[in-house]
Amino acid sequence: MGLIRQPFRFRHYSSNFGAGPASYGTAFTAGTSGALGTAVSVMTLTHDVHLLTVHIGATVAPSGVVGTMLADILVDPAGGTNWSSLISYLAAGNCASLATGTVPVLYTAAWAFPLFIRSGSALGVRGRGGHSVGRGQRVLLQAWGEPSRPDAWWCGQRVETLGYTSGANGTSVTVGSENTLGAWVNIGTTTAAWGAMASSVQPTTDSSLATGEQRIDFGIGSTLLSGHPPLLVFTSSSEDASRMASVCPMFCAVPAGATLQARQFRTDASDVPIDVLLHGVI
Amino acid sequence: MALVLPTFRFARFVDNVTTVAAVAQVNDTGTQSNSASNPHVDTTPVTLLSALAFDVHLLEVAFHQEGGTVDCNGLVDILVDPAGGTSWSELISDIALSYHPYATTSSGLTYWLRFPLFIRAGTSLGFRHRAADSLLTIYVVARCHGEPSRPELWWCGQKIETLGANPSTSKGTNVTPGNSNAWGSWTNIGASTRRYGALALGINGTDASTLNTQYFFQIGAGDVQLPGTPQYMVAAATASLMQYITPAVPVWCDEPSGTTFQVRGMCAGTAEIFNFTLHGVY
Repeated sequence: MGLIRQPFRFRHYSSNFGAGPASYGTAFTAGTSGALGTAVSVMTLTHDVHLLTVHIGATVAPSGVVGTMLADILVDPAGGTNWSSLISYLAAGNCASLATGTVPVLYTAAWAFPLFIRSGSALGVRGRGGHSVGRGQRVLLQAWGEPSRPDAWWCGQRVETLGYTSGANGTSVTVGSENTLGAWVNIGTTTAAWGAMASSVQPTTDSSLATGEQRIDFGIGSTLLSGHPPLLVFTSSSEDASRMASVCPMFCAVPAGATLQARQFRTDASDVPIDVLLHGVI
Repeated sequence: MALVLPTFRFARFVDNVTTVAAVAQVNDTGTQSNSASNPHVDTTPVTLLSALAFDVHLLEVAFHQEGGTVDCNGLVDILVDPAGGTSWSELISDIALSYHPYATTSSGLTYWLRFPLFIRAGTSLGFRHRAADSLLTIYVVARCHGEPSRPELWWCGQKIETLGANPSTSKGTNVTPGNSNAWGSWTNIGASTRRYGALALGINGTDASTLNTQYFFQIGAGDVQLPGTPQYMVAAATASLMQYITPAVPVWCDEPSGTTFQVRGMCAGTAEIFNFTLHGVY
């Protein structure tokens, strides 16, 4: 039963949507061949933040080019001159954004982090791409803050990422046979208790994506993480991979020392290995 | 500053996509509606989830459909039957929807509404819709989260009031966005009769075609954006497709009974009329 309580709200909201809808968000260029690109300032916070959502998109990868891309959300408490990573290795490979032809494609990778960030901090972004040409990306940050009832909103202070391997790749999840579950793959072991979790996926190395759909499950000890929804990935031969994730913050209670896992289920004969990274709010 | 609180999580999750053995095929993710025989007439109810196995405290719904040359605007009722799916009543009335493309068109599902709402275990969820054209069928995705580990941390309501719907046209209330990156006037959607603890915005278009451009929208009262409420974005294309950036979290609020809610919009180019419904959780 739901308790009868006073309503809850965030008093402040801010974003980098920008002055007009034709050029929404902030552009940045990912580095090439796994190298980091240049940091770009996104916004300076004018209020304390207790929830941050991130949307990232790009032009789709040309056929024959690996489309992997990992982005870091950066923070500088002093205003944007000395960046450190706040959220590392958000996988946004093969994402489409902006209007392309007759289809209005917006950001296709999104995450929500119940995270405290102090007012006055600057937020930025940088990325590393797996391709040899630096492709333009866009990021949209939305920040909610100052909950009317602080005792009704859990948020952490930093984010731990598991599953990064090298370059612009995460841990590749073993592909199961058509219409069967793949084996559980260890993504990494937590070093602190997580109160919320977000997941990143992208096609691993494929430079010519097949059309298909896959489900990614998350677990511990080869058992599904209870209460945690799976993530669906749709890939297409036009080299894009759309995600159907529950972006709403996925609160959890994962203890320190837990080895988190993922497995893949696919319904198509085509083989699309998927990188998985997990982001835990501490 | 954030308080140091114990972590919070939902213990249970279920949806109408991944409960089946296989991942749903790309074009038919979710549950398909019956076709309407005539415009502006409710379809026969279809079950989304039968006899929920646990109490629900957060309901997320997403819609998609095929764009085309007909007027693809409509209104959806989310239905509930405490007894298991034989005698439906409206849980959420007349949610506006429009040209939300199939999940395969590079974007995944982008039109989400999130309701912090208590629904008792054993209840069945269903839906029906009415449309401006009899050819329209839609797909609905429903995701239920329940059994919060700390109920005192999660505000949820028990009912929903809908403002702005016009069942005779299968649309919401007209709002004309401003042209060329200028905000249009605030337009009244309706006055609440309850104190709202959360809001959701339903969006549809006007006719059988759309112009290729982008929009921002905001929710307000008294000609001012409601504090803490996010900005919405719509990208439209001439193929009668629209995609969205909707808030990743429930839009919690604390608005008294008698509040007249408003919407305003901004277009990157030449604006078309949009229609809105507003759904208040109490």
